[in-house]
Amino acid sequence: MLSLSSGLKTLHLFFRSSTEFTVLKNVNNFLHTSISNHSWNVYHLCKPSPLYHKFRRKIYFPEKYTVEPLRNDNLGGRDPNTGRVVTARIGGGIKHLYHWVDFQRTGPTVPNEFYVEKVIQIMICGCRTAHIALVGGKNGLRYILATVNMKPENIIRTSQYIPPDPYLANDGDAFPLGAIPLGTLVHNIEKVPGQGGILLHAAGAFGVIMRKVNKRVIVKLPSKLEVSFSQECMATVGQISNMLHGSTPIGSPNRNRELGNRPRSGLWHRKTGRFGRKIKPLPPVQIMKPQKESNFYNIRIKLPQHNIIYPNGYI
Amino acid sequence: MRHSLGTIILKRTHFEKHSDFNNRIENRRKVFDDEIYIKMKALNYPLVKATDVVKEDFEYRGAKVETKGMRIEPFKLDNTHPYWHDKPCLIYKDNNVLIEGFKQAQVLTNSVVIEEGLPKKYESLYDSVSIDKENELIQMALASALVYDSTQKLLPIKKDLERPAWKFPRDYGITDYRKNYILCNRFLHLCELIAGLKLSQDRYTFEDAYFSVPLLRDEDLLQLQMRADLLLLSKESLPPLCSPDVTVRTELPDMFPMKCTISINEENLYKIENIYPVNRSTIFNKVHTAIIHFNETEVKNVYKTPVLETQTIGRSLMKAFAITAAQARYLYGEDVQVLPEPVVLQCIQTDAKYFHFSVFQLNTLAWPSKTDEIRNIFWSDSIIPAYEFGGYFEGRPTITSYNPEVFKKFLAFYMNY
Repeated sequence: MLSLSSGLKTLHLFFRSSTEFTVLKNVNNFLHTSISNHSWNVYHLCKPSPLYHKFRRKIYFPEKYTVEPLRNDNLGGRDPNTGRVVTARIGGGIKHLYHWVDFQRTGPTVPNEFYVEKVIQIMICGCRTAHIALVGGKNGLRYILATVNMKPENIIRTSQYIPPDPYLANDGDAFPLGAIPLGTLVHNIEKVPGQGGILLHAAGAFGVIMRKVNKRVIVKLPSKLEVSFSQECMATVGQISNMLHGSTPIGSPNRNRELGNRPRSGLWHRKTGRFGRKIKPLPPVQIMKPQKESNFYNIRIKLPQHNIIYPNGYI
Repeated sequence: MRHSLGTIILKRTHFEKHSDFNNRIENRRKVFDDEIYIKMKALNYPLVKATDVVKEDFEYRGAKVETKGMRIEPFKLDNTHPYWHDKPCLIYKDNNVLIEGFKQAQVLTNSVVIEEGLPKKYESLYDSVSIDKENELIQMALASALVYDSTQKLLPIKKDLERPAWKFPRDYGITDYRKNYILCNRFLHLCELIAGLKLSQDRYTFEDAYFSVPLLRDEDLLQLQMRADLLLLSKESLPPLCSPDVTVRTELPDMFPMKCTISINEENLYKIENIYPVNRSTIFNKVHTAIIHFNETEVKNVYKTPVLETQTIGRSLMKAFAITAAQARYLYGEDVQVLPEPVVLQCIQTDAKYFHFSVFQLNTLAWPSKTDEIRNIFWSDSIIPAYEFGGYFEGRPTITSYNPEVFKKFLAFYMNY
């Protein structure tokens, strides 16, 4: 890390455009971020956006939502901006079209009113482990994640109203967590109300509603961690389809290449658990809250790279 | 470490790498808000934002000069296009397919099925005329489309869903457009031979006839833009098969919870127009039969799954409705609702293997508001194959299990008047 005094010298040299100079006046308030200084080969500077699906593929999303499968490019574990390898063991495989799944289930906030949809077809998307369901309603067509018991011509309801007694929920219905009875299986849970479902999207995944305390609902995740959500967070009822995905073996190394994974080095092996495993106590309940507004604000300083003439002794 | 970076040797070797690394650390900072703004405002100092005073994007180089060449640039597909409208229109084209198939087509066209199969009038026409060596001639017509045609073009890529990694060798052969084109023309030629000079003089053929019909459905604009690949025209229109009063107490299928216009594409570039492609000066201006091609490379679902059987039947209904509606507006004016005399059209849809025969009678163009109203009528036969296999088998041209029923129905449609 730089000390502030030595930082001052360099900053004067670096900052050229005058906007950045205005910031310079408050030098004493500068605080360095915790970027890893010693990782030389990290060439992606920020976390990948959902456009670059875990450095596997780059998806071309249009402005408007469509059911049409989307074009994508395989990245092969490379950062799309710099072109450098970020993750090893990704590359090759069969090309698939990407189906844009809508995770945000919105409905009326009035009692005894539902937004009703009909399941038309259950399909396989090559870009994710779970199956997807094509669903049609008053506002048009869209994809959602298919549950285990979902079949064509089933009818699905959504509402955002929380009644005094919980609903009798079927598979695929989406309600706020406070409106679903205890012990039901849920998936596609929102962290913050109105954000869109984030948790539990993989094949065969489900959470269980354990108890309700003071307008908050506590859900047990597959990792046995208990998380408490606001009761207005939306969740979809049921277990996600393709539940045998986890237990089916890949079969052959060639099949692994078809999935887009490159071979391991062969030197390192995960511990098998032959001599037992250490049993730890479960962590306490994690509480989901919207992030606080801090009195720090980030700035990003742009520099014309490689074109600066530095004086001797400084870079 | 920092001071060692500035050495001469490192500069020579990894100058860019080190400068990148240094920038990475220093270009992201968190600024602490010490609330000076509030304190200074309390002391009545004049305050201006730094970004208001300073230009952010400073241009180092000279400004761009726009040049215009001799080439006329095509229209962009934006707001600047002359056909742009802010209100989108639902446009149904030749390559579209309705998601709910026949059921949705019934609601869109306001039509009803009275009885199963084709009308009973056609049963008497099946065996009315025949010539010598008829079966051999029909098989020759099939073989000329499937085997003997000399075009060799790239065929679409094959895929096996069970072994998705396997790449099949690319085939050359006769395309689906070409197969349909030859087979329909050959069948028509045979019909003209069998029917004789008198009748065949009353049938004019029209290739690639284009129709366009704008409609209002569920408070949305809907335009049908259709192509009849082969259209038979005649002097006099076909007589109505039954009176329209039969359909008064019938009901349309329920589409709940979806709208009837679901899965049709919305577009902002369109031109609303009524088109009936026949000139007014000709005598042969009444539609008789429409022959429609089902090209596998052209007709697709939006979500790229294979087309279902009900969707193909729905496609022939939509095509028949569009053609008859254009005819009705041509005859009785563009604002006509309930027709003074119904318009009848026979429709044949082919895949070069499977055939679908249907008859459509247009009684109204109105959108149904009450239950006791006249509706249109659709007679449809089940989809039947003309053969099981057609092509080269062990180096020899073969057609197996040929079905003579197909041409009988084709001929009956041609002979009907």
